[in-house]
Amino acid sequence: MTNKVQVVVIGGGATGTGILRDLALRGIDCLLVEQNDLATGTSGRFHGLLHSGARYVVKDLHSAVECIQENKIIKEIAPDCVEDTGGMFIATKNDDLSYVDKWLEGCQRAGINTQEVSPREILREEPALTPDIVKAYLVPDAAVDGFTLAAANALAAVKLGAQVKTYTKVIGFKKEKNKICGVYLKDKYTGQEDLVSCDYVINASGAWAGQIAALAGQVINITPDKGVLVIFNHRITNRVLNHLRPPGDGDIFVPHGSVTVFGTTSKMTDNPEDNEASREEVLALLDEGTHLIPELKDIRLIRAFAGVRPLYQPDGGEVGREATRDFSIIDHQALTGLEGMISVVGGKLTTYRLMAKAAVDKVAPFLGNDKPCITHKERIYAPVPKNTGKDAHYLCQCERVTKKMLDQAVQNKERFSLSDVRRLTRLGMGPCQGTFCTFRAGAYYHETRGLSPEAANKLLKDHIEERWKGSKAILWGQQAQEAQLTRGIYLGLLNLERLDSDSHEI
Amino acid sequence: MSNEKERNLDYCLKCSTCHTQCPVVKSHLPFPGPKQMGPELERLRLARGNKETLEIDEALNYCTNCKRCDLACPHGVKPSFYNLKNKGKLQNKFLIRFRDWILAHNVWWSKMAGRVPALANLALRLSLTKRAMGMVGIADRDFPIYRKHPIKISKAVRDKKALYYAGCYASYNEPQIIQAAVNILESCGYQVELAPVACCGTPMVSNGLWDETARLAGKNTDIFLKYIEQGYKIVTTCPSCGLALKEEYEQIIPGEKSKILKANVWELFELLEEEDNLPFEPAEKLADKAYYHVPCHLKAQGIGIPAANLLKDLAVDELVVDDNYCCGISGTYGFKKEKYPIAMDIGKPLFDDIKKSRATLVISDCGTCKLQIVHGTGIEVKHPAEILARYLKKAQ
Ligand SMILES: Cc1cc2nc3c(=O)[nH]c(=O)nc-3n(C[C@H](O)[C@H](O)[C@H](O)COP(=O)(O)OP(=O)(O)OC[C@H]3O[C@@H](n4cnc5c(N)ncnc54)[C@H](O)[C@@H]3O)c2cc1C
Ligand code: SF4
Ligand code: SF4
Repeated sequence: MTNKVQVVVIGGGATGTGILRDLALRGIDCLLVEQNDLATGTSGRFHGLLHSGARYVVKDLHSAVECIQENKIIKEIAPDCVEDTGGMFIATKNDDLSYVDKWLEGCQRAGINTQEVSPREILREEPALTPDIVKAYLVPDAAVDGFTLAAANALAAVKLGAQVKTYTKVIGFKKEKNKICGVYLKDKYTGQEDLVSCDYVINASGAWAGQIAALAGQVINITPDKGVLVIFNHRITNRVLNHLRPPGDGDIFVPHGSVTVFGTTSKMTDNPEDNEASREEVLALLDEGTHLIPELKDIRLIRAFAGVRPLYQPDGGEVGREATRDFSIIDHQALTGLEGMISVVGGKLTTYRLMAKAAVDKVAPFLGNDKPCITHKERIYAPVPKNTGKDAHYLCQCERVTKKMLDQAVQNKERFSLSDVRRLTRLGMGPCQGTFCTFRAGAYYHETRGLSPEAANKLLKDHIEERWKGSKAILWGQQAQEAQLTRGIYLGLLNLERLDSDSHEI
Repeated sequence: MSNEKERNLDYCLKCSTCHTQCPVVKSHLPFPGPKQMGPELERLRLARGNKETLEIDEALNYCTNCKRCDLACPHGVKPSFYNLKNKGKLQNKFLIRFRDWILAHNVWWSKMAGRVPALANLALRLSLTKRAMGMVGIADRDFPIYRKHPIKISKAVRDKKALYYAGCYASYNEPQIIQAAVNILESCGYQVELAPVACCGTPMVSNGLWDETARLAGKNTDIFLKYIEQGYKIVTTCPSCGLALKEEYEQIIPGEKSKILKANVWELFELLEEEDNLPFEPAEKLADKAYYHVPCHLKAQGIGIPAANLLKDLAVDELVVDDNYCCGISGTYGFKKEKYPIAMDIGKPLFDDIKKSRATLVISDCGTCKLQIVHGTGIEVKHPAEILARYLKKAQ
């Protein structure tokens, strides 16, 4: 790696990777650093909804307008990452119908197309819905895959010469006078520290933005806000399902590939790494969800998790759901006189491209670059295309992940975990939650990548532990049985607890 | 999504028990097996709005609908349900569709052939007919022989009423089974009537004609319900017909009607198990040693093998009962050219086992199992009703 770049981007979520691509497209020499793998922060722990904006039209019209504009653009440029399922808003007989009028008016003002359908027709198409529907509208919502989106943005940037360093943590800044001129990095695997000189830093570390700013002696008022999500084993509805009422807990179902992601909640937290869901939180969510899907509690849950929203309040204003979902670009020079750094905070995944554009528009002039943003004009591509054909050399049968996909997922990677592979391929994301693919994938990499048995064992052990983490809050019914089977295989048959793996590096 | 039946894909733990019990997996490696074709891929089909099929679904043509996967699953999943349902969505090549359509509508051909059996039997043996069948993909093998036989039924009115549903095979190919079943029922004190119902739909649904089967099943169910209301018990002797009424109709036309039907269908010997006094008496044994091949669809009814004890007591000295093997024919499957070698390979362990047992008689309830076993071993096969009717008390 060269130890000098024009811009260092901190954070490998949707925002950071979007910024990296925008910089690269404008010909700016840039490096992205991410403490874990790409999309392991909030961009990998979110609902997966490419908002049409309809959710925000009553409270936050400005956000809604941004959403619908970006919604159209992302569908165009990132078809690999988006599934254009369409969305619906449903009001039941227990809901306040005066809200429906306000909502319709808001959609019209924001320029969001709505189409009313009769309760009978929507029930015919979506038989899982409650029969208590009184109003139903279709909107242009879609599902978006945050893992693929971040990877596709990064790939596009790398092809233009940008660099990406994952598992590399920012631990400090080098300042000269009152200007940032370098970033201190630490390799998470080797512990080795390094300095990269730069002209500018863009802090896109989401819920961690306050921590990063603090390293530079800055104060940003980020209120991390935790949201819990659960995943059901199959698609419950074919469209994104929204409850047509003022935004609250447990009112969105997103069909995502083979599963349904349902949530969410909103609760202040002081730790951006607070990403475990509790059993109580899950049960409360399910209670809410039965208003829309009466049989919800009979449908198999395969996982529960949480993500942390990077909400930003300039002067310590509203928190939680009342807080704005707008994004802000914080110019530290204007605030405190510190040169060479901006922070991009707040916002939503749907508007990541707009945030990136605003950030790069701000930074480019300092670098003497006046090229316009063209990120809305060019397509981006998933690094690992989905398997849609007949290739039956599966290693993961639930999600039809092939050997070829496993090869593609680790191309050009010196080190990787099975979780990294999972994010690009969906390996282990089905109902068995890695029970049958983990040992196969470990063995496959042992064979094809020449991993030592200890290194392959470590892949296996880490992955099983990671999958287990997401099951803990939902261990009843079928998933409890599945967990027993997993235990039988890994603890009984393979003696996982005593696998020789810990003392070795990959 | 999502009704109860479809949701049972949620019960799958991926344990692969069903996979180990699928006879097609053993004989035809490219077949992905029940776990994959059923609950696993169904999630991905749902992900496509449950409208398009997946490319891999072509393999569904190889499922024989033997239901061994359903029985094997320790978690209550019924993989064969997904197979049947999705087979109906496949767009096969025209010739295959044409061939499958012919085989699916065997009842029509049978009706015609049944009118002039001698001519039909002759035609089926002509080499010209065989060549023509070969061209549309029908295997060169012996077809069942068509027979006509007037059935004698008593007109006496009795309290106990049975509506006997014989099914296509007995009706057109072995009417003596019908007479035997009627005699047994009458000896047990039943007023018997023959069901005015032709095909149950099994050949259609296994050939991918889901919608047509649904219409037929609806029509048939209405007829059966009329009799049930009048106190009739529905009695079957064909395992596949029985299973269709007991289970498949409920999957194809879910609802109250199919539930009522299900509760009122009896396999002949299942019904006899409830009788206090059985109308049989000892007579000369039919064979020293016989081999009872339990058909897959009898096994799938979950009623055990109700005829076995009677057969042991009355008809044979030594009875080998085996339900481990699928004979491979699976209705019309073994009549298809490309499946014929698989059907024979699936049946081979059964043929070997029968030969090894040195039994001189094979007993089986299923007409097409019989065709396959005769084809594979050359040994005579009889329906248990046909055998047990010989032991009815003469006094009655
Ligand atoms: C429960 C929930 C549901 C949501 N649902 C939706 C939705 O449906 N649609 C939508 O549009 N938005 C949704 N959002 C919002 C959206 O997910 C976030 O706004 C978006 O993902 C933020 O992306 P980001 O790149 O800014 O942050 P992140 O994705 O969090 O990226 C920041 C990265 O910075 C890295 N980092 C932190 N510290 C360091 C360091 N010291 N060195 C190096 N790297 C560091 C982190 O590891 C992290 O990967 C949801 C949010 C939550 C919490
Ligand atoms: S019905 Fe029989 S052939 Fe078909 S998948 Fe099940 S076990 Fe295999
Ligand atoms: S369908 Fe049943 S037997 Fe087959 S893998 Fe699933 S749980 Fe196991």
